[in-house]
Amino acid sequence: SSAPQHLAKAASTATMTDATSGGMFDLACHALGYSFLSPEAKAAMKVSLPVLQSEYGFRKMYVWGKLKGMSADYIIAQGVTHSLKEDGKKFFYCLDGASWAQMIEPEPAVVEACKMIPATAMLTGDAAFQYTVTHEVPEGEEPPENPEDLTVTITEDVRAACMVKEIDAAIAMVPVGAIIQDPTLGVPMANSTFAGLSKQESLDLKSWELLAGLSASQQLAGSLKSKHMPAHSLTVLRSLSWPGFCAFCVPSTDKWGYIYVGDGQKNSDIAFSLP
Amino acid sequence: MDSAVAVAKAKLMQADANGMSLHDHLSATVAKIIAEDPENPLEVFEQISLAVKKQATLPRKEYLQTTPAPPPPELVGKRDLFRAKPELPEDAEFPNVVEELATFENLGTGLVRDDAYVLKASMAKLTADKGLRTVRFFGKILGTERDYYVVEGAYAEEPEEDEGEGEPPAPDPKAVPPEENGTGVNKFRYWVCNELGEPWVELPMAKPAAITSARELKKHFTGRLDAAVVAHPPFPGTEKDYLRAQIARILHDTYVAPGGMFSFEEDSEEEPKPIVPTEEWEAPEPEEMAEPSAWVHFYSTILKVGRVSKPPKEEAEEEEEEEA
Repeated sequence: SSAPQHLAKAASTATMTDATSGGMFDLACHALGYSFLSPEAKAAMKVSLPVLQSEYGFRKMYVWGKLKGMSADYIIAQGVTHSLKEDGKKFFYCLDGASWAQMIEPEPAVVEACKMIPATAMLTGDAAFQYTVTHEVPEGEEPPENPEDLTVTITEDVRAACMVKEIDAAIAMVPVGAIIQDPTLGVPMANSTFAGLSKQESLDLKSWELLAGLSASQQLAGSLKSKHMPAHSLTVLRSLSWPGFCAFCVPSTDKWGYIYVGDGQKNSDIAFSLP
Repeated sequence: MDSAVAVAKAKLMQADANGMSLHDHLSATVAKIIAEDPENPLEVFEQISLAVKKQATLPRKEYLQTTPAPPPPELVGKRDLFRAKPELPEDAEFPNVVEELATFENLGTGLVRDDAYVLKASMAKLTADKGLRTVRFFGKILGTERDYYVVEGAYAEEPEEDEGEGEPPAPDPKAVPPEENGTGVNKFRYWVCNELGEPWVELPMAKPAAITSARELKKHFTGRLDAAVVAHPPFPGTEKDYLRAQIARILHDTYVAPGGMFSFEEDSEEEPKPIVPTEEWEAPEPEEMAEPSAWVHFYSTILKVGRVSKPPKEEAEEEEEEEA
């Protein structure tokens, strides 16, 4: 049948990712407001990401952004077989742009434990750093014999993986129509005939959707700000709930993307900080 | 049977808003495939269909007659900066803007490289226009509608204050007086613009009430200097005062220098003694410099009242207490 051939063809023609190509990186920097990768890291990623892409057989790789830590930042990339909306996409992190490590897929228990790490605890920059959280004894239950059973140790790389998944699920967004359910394969695929959003559409939150399908217009009112930068023909959406997140597109083209560069924390003061 | 075909065909021939019908489109697409004879038409079918659609909506007469849109002012402003050749004052200390920004770029937090050149030209224009003695890029502050670029500068001599139109408002006797220009938190003046290439706008001086109030706030900036800062208790001023207060707090909290690189000029009779580079200071090894203890704050902490130096009235009261 044609379906397996289609997939085989896609993998064999997977060429150099445009993740670090000058165009997309510059757009992301203009959207964010500053350059977030050193020229050296960028140069390293230009060669390391295509190698990683080949090793895993991804159809495409994207620069997801950075999680900032006190002594070092984690550069995050994601690889997809079909599209950004797929369930099985994989995340990677590195410090230098060259040596990538795959991020784990955190179990629900681990995700819960990570939520107990206080928001004020910044990432240290050491992937092996250990956080210790203590579960509370549920009401009416006896404490366990061994008190150590209540404590959970989480390493920073696991915490970072939880942050990335949380942010990607909470705020990552794509233009409506850019990724559609492929009828033959039954998976979300990039729409090859997507001609882009018009300038007016791109500024309207209804033209953007989260990866799970929820419309961006459902975000907390006022927490997502869109603006057009005429000097770069760029529309940018910045989240105030997740400071450091931007989605962007060049209207009337298929150039679009999203990026996150921040400390991984939600802005819990948003009710007060909105102007 | 025939009527079913006729109904189907009629449906296909329904014209849409642009006068195109699906029947016409399919005919045109097939005709194009026959005419151009591509290698694998099934694979590129969608592209061919899209191309046919694009050709059908070529600009109509009214589009051809519209005048072209004027260029975005941001681009014109930047272009003019590159063209201008401002003359810097003779005694101006102008930094190597591009080199300094390249250092930050190498750290993975810097301006986009192109912006460094625009910023340099923009700072040169400001220095020349105002006759500044020193100038420094303070940084960029992001806003919900527009961002701010912030430049710090100082005159060789503080200019005379203009009386302006009418009398300036009488200072509130209960409010802590601000430090004079050239001293304390107001040692430098600050200019901002939303987009490099736009004219620089000077921020007002930092006022103690604004600084103490800003400590209790966490507000996003909009990018409009006259925007209201909605807070409780009320903030004494608009966004430009909040911005100025935050700049003062950031500078005094974060501006650090390697320990020992500067010291007080012992021979000076000025009070407080000026800070000058230490002669024959050698930079320690990079490993030592990675320790926080190797660095010192360059500027004094801002006191609780919102100034670096004690307000003069308090000192007078203290003297009275001591005498009594």
